[in-house]
Amino acid sequence: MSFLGRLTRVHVLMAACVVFVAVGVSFMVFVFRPRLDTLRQTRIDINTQRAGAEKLPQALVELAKAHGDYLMTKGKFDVILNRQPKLTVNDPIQAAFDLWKEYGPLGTGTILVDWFRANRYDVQGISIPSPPLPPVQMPPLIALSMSGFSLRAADFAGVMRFLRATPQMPRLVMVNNVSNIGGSSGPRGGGLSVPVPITVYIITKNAIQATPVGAAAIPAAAAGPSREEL
Amino acid sequence: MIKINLLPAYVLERHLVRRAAILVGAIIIVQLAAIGFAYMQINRTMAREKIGLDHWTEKAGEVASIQGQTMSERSSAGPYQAWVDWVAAMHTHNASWAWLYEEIARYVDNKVLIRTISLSGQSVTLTGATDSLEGAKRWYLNTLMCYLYSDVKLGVQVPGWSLAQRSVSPGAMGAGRFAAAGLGRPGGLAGIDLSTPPSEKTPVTLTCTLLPQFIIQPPAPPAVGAGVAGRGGFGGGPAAGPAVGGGAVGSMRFGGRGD
Repeated sequence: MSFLGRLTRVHVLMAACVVFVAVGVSFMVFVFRPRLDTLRQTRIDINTQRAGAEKLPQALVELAKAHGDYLMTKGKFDVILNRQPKLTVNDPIQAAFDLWKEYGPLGTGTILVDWFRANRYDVQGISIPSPPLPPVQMPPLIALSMSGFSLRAADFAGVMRFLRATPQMPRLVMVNNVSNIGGSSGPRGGGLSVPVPITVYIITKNAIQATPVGAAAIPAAAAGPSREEL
Repeated sequence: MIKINLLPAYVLERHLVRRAAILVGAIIIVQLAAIGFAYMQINRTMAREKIGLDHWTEKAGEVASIQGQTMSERSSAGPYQAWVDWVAAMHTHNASWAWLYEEIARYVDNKVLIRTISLSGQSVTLTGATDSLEGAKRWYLNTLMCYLYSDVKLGVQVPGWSLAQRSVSPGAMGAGRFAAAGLGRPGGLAGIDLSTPPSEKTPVTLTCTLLPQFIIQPPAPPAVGAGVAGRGGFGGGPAAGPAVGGGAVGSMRFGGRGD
């Protein structure tokens, strides 16, 4: 009797089970599993990307806000810049002549004097240095230090009024120090004499290009809890 | 009729084996068909998911692009903001002088005749005169209560007495320390100076030490690559970083008397 002739149903069923399991396992391990892994990873990626994509409305709002902030900040800066003298920044020769004009009798010195006179401030010591010779590489910020600047005021309130009036001045003025207030106020007094060394700043048009991104002003030290009263 | 099976048993067994083999073959074929179907389903699902992935990737890329634009807008606003902040800080700084002097003055009794208020770093010196020693004491006590100072020193020229100076820290204003300061006790003063004739006013000097948080510091301009030119740049002064060619050869002074 041949080999096949000796097979019984049990043998056939056992062999069938083995083949069935072997085929199933083989397909699962070598075909389905990699595909399912890929599918699982794809779904994870979809969830990740979807989570990012669902931020679209928020991102649009933030973009609009950032753009609005940018326009507002630039607008504020333009207001500041428009109050500055118009100085050429690209042409070194013209820049020098612009500075000559600005440092001359029709420039910053006279403008400040006229403003102080118009606002009835009695000041002395406005001193403008000689302008540089051409060619001039216009800096982003020009600082004119006037250490001999002083104020005469009728009373203490007049000095305080002056110190609070700097935002209205036609140039950016920083009060470096107020070291001494002395004299005598009142109708019989000769007034208060206050040395107020100041620095006049001129911001030029290339200030923005020269300012690295992330640069920030160092704020003045807090002067007490009621600073917001200023 | 009687049916007798005279065939050997293996004939039946072979028959059953053949049928079992056919059945097994059919099952295997069904299995393979199922596997093929599952494979196709997986492929179809994968294709669908891939389309979804592409869609969401594109959307996420759009969001990333918008976020990039947002960052760009913010960084573009940075330099403008730095200058705007600096100018605002400058005006606040200027006004803070007024605030500080007004706060100092707020603790001066209105019966005190102030001659000078001097400010040097941490030290504030107030010189003035009072009608009496009682007035000097009141002014001193007021100043001790002022929150601006960490230390107050009193210098008083009592008529007929030489200058005495005592120091009290407001933080240590216990009764014992206060008494130890010798305030109002002639015995605590330096001694009689008969060469000084008595006068109506009592000159008083208060030397106070400001708390560090009340020392006013100027704001620094935004960091600029090309530096700051001022009298520094054009020929001397406090600003750093000369950036302008040429030199200053003098200066022009302007008269500024307002009225």
